[in-house]
Amino acid sequence: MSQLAHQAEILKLARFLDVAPEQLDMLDPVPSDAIRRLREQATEQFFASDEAFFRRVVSASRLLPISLLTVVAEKVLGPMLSARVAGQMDVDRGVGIAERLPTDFLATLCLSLDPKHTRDLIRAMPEARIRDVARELAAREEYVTMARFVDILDARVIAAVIEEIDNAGLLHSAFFAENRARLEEIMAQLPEARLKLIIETAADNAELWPDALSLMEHVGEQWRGRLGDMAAELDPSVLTSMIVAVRDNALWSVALAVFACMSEASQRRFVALEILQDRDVLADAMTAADREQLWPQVLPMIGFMEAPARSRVAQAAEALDGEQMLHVAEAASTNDQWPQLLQLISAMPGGYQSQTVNLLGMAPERTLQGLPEALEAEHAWDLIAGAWPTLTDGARKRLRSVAKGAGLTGRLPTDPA
Amino acid sequence: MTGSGKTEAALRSAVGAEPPTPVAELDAASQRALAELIADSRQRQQQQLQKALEDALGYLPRLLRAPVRRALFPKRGDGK
Repeated sequence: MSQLAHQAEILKLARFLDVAPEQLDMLDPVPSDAIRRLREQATEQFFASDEAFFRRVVSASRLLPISLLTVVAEKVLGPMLSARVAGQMDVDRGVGIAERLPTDFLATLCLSLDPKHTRDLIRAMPEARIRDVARELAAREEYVTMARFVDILDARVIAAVIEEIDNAGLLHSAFFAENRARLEEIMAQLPEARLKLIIETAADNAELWPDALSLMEHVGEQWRGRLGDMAAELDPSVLTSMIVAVRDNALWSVALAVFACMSEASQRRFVALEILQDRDVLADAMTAADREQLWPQVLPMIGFMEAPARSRVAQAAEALDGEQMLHVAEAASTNDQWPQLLQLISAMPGGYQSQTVNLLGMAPERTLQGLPEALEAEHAWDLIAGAWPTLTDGARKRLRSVAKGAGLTGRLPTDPA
Repeated sequence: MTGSGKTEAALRSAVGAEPPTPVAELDAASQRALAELIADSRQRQQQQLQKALEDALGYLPRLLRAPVRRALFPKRGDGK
């Protein structure tokens, strides 16, 4: 579960119910998509149960001129109730009223407007009026509300609205967007220079990185890689600030998912970052990789590292326990990443190296498939030879079996008679 | 942990549907608190709406008040 998506959904539900987010603490263990579904159910229930009544309100409103309805909306109903009535309003009359209402009133009304029930009305609104309201919402930092209209507004109108919002505002709005797939459509309309400026804005303001990472997490792999590459092409301080935010906000799962989609050149820049030479940061990343089952994303990093960096990772790997190391072996086996794991083991200090090979020997035979071929390719049979005297009989038997399957039995040490 | 049938019913009633499974699997106290929050929110909105519409009638020209009131509240007690 993404904690960022969870946080966004809690805020949206709190806004809908008009309660403080802390009052929804009971939903901490609930995944974000279930919270979203709950909000949709509650919205439908609220609208459905009052539908007959709101129809009567609209019928009554037809008896009144638009000028008088505007006064009633502004002076009596107020923005929240006007938003509820808007869902039933005839589109032409609704637009007529909205054109007469002050911008700040409309902005407040948007906080309670349900985009699904007012789609036709919103789409019929003049673009200039939408821009006015968007500017007001951005000034109020009402990003939850702005994001709710991403699905509804025409892409051309959204492009116009984006001109009204600064980079930080765009990131915040993207964080709360309902339809993440739509974000790709919108990003495709933005010049690359603007996208890079948005990334630099996050780098200059650490609190924005979680929003930027949330955006990267939820777009498809192609866009994730493209955004990651853009970040890597900027000054190294940009990626460094991202890693600081990742470490401080426990967002390794997102960062590693972005890393996995970057170009090889960007991945090399990533692993060369000074901050990633820090043993504590590396140990933190590895613990997260194990928890989030991200070894397939992490192991390729080993292949891009120079010997000193690899040695630091190998030392940091001492923080992993036996079970975690077996997870790494499983990932290496499943994803043809034995070479990278062997490079890591080769860089380990002697005692830990032998201990790790002993652990590998405990893995089931199916996990060890592919290991002999990788030992051959990496010229790493010494690792096995060094640990052979301490391996259990079972481990030797499994290694013999997989070596035989690979036609490499002769590479194994012979047991004393 | 699964909530009691009664608690699930309260939550089901508050959202008008079977809640998503992870929500229905919350413990009984959590489900009860959630159902209460949702029901309270809805009640608050309905009360605000009722009051606002009564107030709105006062803004209308006298001539229009009766037909508008009839359209809003077709018969006594019918309004929410």
